Amino acid sequence: MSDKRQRLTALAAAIDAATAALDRAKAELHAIEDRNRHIMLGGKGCSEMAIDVRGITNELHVLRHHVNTELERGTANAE
Amino acid sequence: MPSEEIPRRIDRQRMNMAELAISEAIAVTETVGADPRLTDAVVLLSAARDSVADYVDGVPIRRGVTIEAAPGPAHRIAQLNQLREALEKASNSLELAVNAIRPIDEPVAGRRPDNMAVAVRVMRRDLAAMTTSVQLQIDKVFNNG
Repeated sequence: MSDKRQRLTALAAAIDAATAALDRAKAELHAIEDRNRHIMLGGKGCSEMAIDVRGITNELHVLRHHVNTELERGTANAE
Repeated sequence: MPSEEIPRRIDRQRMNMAELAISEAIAVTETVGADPRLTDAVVLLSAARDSVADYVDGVPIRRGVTIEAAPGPAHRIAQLNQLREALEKASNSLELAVNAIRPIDEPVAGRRPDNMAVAVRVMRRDLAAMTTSVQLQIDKVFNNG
């Protein structure tokens, strides 16, 4: 495996791990809000923070797509 | 960096058909919309993929996937702590992402690596602000009950 491919694979793994953690954070935010609608986190409600988390998740999906594209291109070139 | 350092279960090149199918289901679910029930679906699907990976990797554990929401300060603190830990875990993973990007000196699908690293650092900054907010709320619940 080339050095660039190893880096891209490690990057993909890190993005996937971050995405999974953020999905978990979103679930926790919704669970907290279900029982504690008045709770504010840094001046925001839980649903507002969940939207912010979703924004980061969406950015990570785009980044992951770029990495996938590059990995697939590398595979095609190798073949 | 040997490829063995990267766990099989998070390497799409080495996932089996079931893991890839569940990953695809997660991606499709993410496009349906923004709703707590859809987030629950994504978390449950992720747990399903983890369980398949446990089977493939020979990990002898069973997974619980339910989230209990209960009233009272102790439960609120427990939930907030889980939220803080999830945000910290995401931030730590993004630090690994930056470390992986840094040595890449060619564009990735047309995107400059230094721009990608900056974008990830901005995400980490936002997560740090969220984590601080959650910790302040934990302190508030702890002190006021």
